[in-house]
Amino acid sequence: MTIKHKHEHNKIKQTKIGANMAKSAKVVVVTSGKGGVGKTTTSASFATGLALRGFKTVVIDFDIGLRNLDLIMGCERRVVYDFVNVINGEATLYQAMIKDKSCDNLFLLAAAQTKDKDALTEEGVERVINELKQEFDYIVCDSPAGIEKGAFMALYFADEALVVTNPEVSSVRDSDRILGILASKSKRAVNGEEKVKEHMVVTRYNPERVESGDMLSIDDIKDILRIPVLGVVPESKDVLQASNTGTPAINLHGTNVSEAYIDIVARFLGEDKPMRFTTVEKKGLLKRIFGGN
Amino acid sequence: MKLTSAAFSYYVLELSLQDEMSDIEDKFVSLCKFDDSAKYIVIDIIELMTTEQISKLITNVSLIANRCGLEIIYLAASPLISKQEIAGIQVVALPKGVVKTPQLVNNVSKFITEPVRSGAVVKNDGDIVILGLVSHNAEIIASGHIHIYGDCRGKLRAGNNGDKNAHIFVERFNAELISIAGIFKVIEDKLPNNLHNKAVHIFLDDKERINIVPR
Repeated sequence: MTIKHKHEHNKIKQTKIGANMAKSAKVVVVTSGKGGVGKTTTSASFATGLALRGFKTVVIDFDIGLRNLDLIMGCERRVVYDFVNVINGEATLYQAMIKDKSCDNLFLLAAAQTKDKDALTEEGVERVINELKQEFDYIVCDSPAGIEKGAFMALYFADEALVVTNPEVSSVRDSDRILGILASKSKRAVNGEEKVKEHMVVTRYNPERVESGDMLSIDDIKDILRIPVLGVVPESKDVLQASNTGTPAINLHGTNVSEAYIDIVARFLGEDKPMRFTTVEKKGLLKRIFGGN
Repeated sequence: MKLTSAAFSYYVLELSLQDEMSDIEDKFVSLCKFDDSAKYIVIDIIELMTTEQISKLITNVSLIANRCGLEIIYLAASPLISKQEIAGIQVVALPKGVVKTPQLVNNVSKFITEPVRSGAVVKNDGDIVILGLVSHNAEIIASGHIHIYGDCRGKLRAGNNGDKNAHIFVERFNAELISIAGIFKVIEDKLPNNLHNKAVHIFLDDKERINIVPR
């Protein structure tokens, strides 16, 4: 009798917290326009970072037919039901959501591999997102490349956007196009609400190559896109290793990629952190003698 | 073809043989948007044509006008017209000084403060004023002048309906293409230092060449 009572008490408490959180639930889209710039890597690390900070976070893979996020998060084999199953009503959210193995606050909603982007309907996606908003603090949408239906659905419901850009002209131009779409075709724009908050994440940045003139600098990119830079992720071989082993890069403790993503999450949450990894590191005397990086 | 407001009571439509019916319809539609109370149209023939041609033109224009809720009331008297009445429309002399008040229909200017991103098109039947950035591959199309107070890297078309007196002013000029009244210039190579990212004024000279001068 007492146990049952206690259980009920807990349940009431939980729903209360859930109701409070529903108000502040934020939909964040990770997008870029161009493919291969690091959207999925950024989505995985960003969502993990938010979850590690104690926010209940879910990350949704919108790349129907080319699912990668589950690989990078290391839970490929645990995908039974996916996002499209939920949209079509073939599975409930709780059956489809996969809890991350290292972090209790992090959940993944995988994309379907056997369908295509037409499986995403506006009503279906809206219903799933509204349902997730009841439970979670942050809903991270990993957008596919391009400006077709998948990318459009991923950004349509966004409150904030991380635009991932590489320091090269074509990537920056495509990001510019995506920013235009965010400002004109997202739900907030269509309904005339406050515009989607835009953040820029520059990935694969190599200060040496910027200094030698092969790569665009942060200032060049800022001059074209005119949005605030949330963070700079240096080019590193750790990223490849992270995705091959199914670990979000933010969890490779001690690497500069992990540090960069920790900074990005901190700045996103409003903390003031100085920019790192944007200038060429001067090698110390010992390092110059003994080598190493 | 030109549609002008002559007085409070009617609009004057100048017609020649080259005018397309679809253009006339566009003009009527935009007139109705611009002026809810517009009702009466006076046709002014500005080219020598036979009575049969005038009659046919009036019949066609009447059809379009009726569809838009407008009515052709008179034909303006001119040396080009010898009859008192054509196709049931009476020829009258318009009062002097009222005819052809130079007020273009629907020439409201557009004012933009957000950056114009790559792939976006800003179009206006009138002037366009932009405070801020015009990105690569964005297009600004105005039937009037274009003013840009910021960086301009996209394509600019002023006087798009054929107005050769349209001008373009840019605060920091690095456009890919400029055009005035359909006369265009592609800027392929880097501009000279006195123009690149500088304030410029672009206009057509009397020989219809595009001029870009620093300001």
